[in-house]
Amino acid sequence: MIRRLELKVPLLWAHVRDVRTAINGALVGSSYSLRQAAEMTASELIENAIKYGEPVSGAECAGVTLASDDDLIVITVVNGSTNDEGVHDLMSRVDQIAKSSDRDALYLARLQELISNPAESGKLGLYRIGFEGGFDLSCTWENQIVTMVAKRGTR
Amino acid sequence: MSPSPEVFERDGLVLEVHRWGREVSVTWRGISDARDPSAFAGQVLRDLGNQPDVDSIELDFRKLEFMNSATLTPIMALIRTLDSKGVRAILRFDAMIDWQRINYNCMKAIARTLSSLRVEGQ
Repeated sequence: MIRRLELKVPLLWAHVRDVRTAINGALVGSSYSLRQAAEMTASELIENAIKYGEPVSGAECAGVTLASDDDLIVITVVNGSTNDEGVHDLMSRVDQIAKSSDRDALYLARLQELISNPAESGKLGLYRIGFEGGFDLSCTWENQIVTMVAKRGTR
Repeated sequence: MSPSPEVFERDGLVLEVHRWGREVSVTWRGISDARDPSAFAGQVLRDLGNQPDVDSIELDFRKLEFMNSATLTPIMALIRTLDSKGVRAILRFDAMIDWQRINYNCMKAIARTLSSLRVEGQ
């Protein structure tokens, strides 16, 4: 079955739950496990978009797209950003996850950092998507628009 | 028999704090997806972590429906605080639920390096 969902999301935290509900609804009939993974992934990505995004020309609000067929599910989240340093940090984390052969270890290492260093906080979401959600992540930044793509098989 | 729990609630997250003498248990219910979990859940956990005369604090996540990754920051902070005071921390997950099982396994791995941390999966 082919499923497609497109949402425009204002940069307001209250809309995070709306995105989770919409993703879950769009995947009715899929396995519970896949719906959970997709919901979590979309939630973490839209949280980042709302936290760090800003209105720019061509992306006044954030956007979420879900495209799925019997074999593949793709979640895309876009947001504007003019924060060069922030986006490069994001891209470097995505690259680290993409190149890692042991995503469990990345997630665990980040948890260990949070325990051992009181100054550390957050930045777990991308590792969680890669590890818990089983999604492959990629990221581009063009014309001040960040595009995060999360992709995995449906089985 | 325990007295009635103290109940803290905000934006769909309910934290029920039960006390049995020197042992404390926090039952998590609902959804934890705050932008800054340190402001609510974190404050409840900090207050518990700073209490004297506590031997153990249990965090029971089995009734929790969803947790964003940001929620883990105050939980890790509590574990750090309790470990530094020699107070036992117990985390309880429902291992039949995917996201809870994954966190159960991760926290089990971390418990190998923290003698004060115990992790239970139903």
